[in-house]
Amino acid sequence: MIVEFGHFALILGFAVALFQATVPLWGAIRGDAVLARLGVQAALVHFALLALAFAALTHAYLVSDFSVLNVFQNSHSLKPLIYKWSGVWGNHEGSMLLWVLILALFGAGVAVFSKRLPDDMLGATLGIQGLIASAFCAFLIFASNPFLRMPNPPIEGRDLNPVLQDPGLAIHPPLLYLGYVGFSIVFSFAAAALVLGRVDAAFARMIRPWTLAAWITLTLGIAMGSYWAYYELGWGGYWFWDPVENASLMPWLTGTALLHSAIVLEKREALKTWTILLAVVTFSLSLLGTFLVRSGVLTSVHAFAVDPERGLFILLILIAFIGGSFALFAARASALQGGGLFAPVSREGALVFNNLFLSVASLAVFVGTLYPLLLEALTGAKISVGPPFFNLTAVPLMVPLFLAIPFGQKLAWKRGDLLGAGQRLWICMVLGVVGAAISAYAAGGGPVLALAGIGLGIFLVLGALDDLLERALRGGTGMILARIRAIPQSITAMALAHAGAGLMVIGISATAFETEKIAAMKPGETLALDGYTLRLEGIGPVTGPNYNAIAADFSLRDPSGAELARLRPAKRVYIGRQMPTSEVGRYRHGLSEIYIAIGETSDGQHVDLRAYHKPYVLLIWLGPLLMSIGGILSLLDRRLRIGVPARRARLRPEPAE
Amino acid sequence: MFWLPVLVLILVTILLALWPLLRGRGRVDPMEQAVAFYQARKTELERQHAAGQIGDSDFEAAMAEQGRHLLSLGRGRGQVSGDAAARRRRKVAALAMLVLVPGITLAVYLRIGQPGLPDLPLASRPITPQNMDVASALQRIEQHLARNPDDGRGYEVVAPVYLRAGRFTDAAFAYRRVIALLGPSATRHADLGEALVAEKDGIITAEAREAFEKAVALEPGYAKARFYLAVLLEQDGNRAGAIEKLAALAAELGTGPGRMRVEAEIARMRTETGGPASEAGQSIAALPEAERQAAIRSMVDQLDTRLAGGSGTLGEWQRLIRARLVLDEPDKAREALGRARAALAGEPDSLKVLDELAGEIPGKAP
Repeated sequence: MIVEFGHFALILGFAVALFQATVPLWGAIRGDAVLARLGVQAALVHFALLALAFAALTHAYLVSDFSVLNVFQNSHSLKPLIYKWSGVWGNHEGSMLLWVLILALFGAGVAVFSKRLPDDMLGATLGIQGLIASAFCAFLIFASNPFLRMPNPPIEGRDLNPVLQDPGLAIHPPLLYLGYVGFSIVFSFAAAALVLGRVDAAFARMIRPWTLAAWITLTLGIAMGSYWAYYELGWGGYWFWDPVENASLMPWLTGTALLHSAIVLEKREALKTWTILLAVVTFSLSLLGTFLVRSGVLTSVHAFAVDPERGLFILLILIAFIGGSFALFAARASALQGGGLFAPVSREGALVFNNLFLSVASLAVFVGTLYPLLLEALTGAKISVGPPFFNLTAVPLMVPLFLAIPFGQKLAWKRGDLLGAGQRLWICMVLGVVGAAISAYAAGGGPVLALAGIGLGIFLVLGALDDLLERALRGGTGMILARIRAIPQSITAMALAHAGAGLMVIGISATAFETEKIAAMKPGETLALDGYTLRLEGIGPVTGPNYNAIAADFSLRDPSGAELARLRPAKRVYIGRQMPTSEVGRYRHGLSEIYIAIGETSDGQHVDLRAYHKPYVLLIWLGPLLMSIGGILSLLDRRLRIGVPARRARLRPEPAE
Repeated sequence: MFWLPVLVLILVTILLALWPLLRGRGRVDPMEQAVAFYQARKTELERQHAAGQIGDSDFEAAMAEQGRHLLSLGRGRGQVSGDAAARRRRKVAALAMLVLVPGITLAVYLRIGQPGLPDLPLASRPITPQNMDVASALQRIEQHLARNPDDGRGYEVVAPVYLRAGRFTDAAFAYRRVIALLGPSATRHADLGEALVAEKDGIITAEAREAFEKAVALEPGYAKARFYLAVLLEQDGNRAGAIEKLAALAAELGTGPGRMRVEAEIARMRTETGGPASEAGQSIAALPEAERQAAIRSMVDQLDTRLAGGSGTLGEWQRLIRARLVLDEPDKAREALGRARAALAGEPDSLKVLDELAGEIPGKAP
């Protein structure tokens, strides 16, 4: 009964979404507040119904109800409990259900937290959210229904893809979806603003928390995915410019741009059309990402769903929404009033600079990701655009952007003073160069670009923190504590997020200094790795709950010979699908790691392995973590943000000319 | 029992969705909210000004800006439509929720849902006669093995069940565990090999071959392993050798299913070759290379002589011409072709086949 009840709730949710897509929008356009406000109820009921459906499917997974086709195909009675939970979204149908549930969650979030919005804006926003929800509910019900049944089910299921049986993957998709889908609400706000012809500071204030929430989860989701790839796929890499990764990076780049342009809109009422356009583009890229991953047009580790019919369905949704919103934009954007003016050298100017580079970087990723697909569709030729393309396009675009961040932080609104901003930053730059020189000395040389990257990262971190320091010291050394406490939360948030970017740059640059050793070892043999010693103590079988494994047992010793840890990398074979996966052995010291992955152990006598020493590798993920902490801090700062136009140069000592 | 909760769900949905209409609610002037927003911004500016965060002139400029925004908002407000139109709209909305939402839901659900089908959680699966013994016993053993992965006897019990159920990969895994835990034996290695062959749809892989070879090493006469090693010869291209080995194996086996299996395999190989189907053919295949060549040639000559009598079928003529080609005697092949054409002159279809065959003969055309 529970399964069918869930199925019914899903379909009822679809019908309610249709109601939500029409009535409140109609009310908003007609100026009928009561009708527009019906969107609030509809959004809440829609969310409740989808939550019921999701709970029913989860229940079917937990009790291994193989009469549900989806459970049979993706679960196994012996699977550990956590993967019975995560198995719900570890497959196409279930993950689309999660997608729609999160869409409903954001709609309900607006219904609960934004009750004080103008009626027409609320109705139009929820109506457009309902439109998106209807489209994806229809896709779910008619093309990817997770509730299809089998009357005489087999006694055992086919198990979840072993690569996905990992705690990282239990959290990665929900986080990523929260980010992707979170931008839907920003899109709905933007489309509503276009329909109603109202874009102002109040609008920017409305979208800020939602943009931030989506951005935070997307940041965490991408970082988590990268970390998962690092330790689960056994290649030791953290970013592969895989189309699926790019699909999440594109909305992140434009979403980051949107975050910044919305600040300009809220503070200065400028960049109106641009902000709206970014909101539309960001969600379009999220839809594109969903299409790329869910349609199976790509063949990569992530694309575990392959079905061209579904692809066509999503493609139609994609075209309808992107085409519709751009048409709306073209028709209505000119009606928006122009905003405040500002000088090129100003906080606004710096944020435009940021937007420009982020958008172009996103475009580069877009071309690199879609060009091979387009070429294959048109000519049948299969080419792959690998890391070299992205390293030559998107990465160089990031360098001037990162260089400019600390300056942007210091510029005043409306018109700023670049020389004044640069004054203190010289010190940070010098310290960056010194840091790079120290790294070069410590590592005995190294690639110039990597050293420059480390210098850049240090400059970014110090520049971000210096902003806080300057505010604390402004006006003498007394009362420092009081002034630190008086620093607005949003300023601290900005400094943390930018410092996070710096840490990530350092982490990525440091990968140039890693050591890789490939060897075949017999028990008792040792391998030297940057002063550490690995000794293979033995090879033996291990039996897990639903897999069998051959594990190698290594002891890791430091230069003095003391044993630091035992590392047990393994090759697992999952019983259900007979699929081998690699389990790596890792030892963390400080922010660096020793990383071992083993290959085949053909005869049980020796083992092929790759061992790495990866200095400061954890910074790659700690950086984004700090960025999202900055985002959370900014989200918690609910003060109104009003740009105070600087009438004249601030009262600060000017350098003699 | 299914439709009652569904009915409740529909009613609750409608009630919640239309709640504001039932309750009746006065409209809020959008202007009021806008005024409140800019008022809040002014308050915030005053707070910052009082705290000394912004200077006097900046404060004044910012306050003036807020005022300008507020003024611009007042312009271009649309006309609010009358009460009658509003009531009509509300009726339409209510009707949509009351009729269309349940209607669409039921229409879709009845098409794709299975309202009568109960849940089937694994723990409470009804045991049907056909899968009671095997399936539930298998499940119990699997659970036992999951907890006691070193129980070789358990794997030994479960492996043949897997093999019969078509779960070849699981069967191979189980046999590997049996060998690892209980030690090797000819039977175990041969069974592992059999599971591996089944897994690969009859192809004997290197791993399967190794398993059979180990079985034969442990027990030289072990029939199952010898059978597959013979089949392997065929797979490697030596069909004659395979048939010979199988024939020897069949001779050793007493009558029974084992022998029938071997003989069926021999028969299959022979029909596939169309090759020496006679006892004589078998013995020829056993001869050393040079003698075999001579024996085959004499057989071909016999066939030639017999066909010279003029009673040959198309198949026999084809075989003769092919045999000449294999023996590298193109002249004799061409000559046989000429005779065949003469003998089969009345059959146009056969002549067509012979024309095709003629193309395979090297050298000048006749």
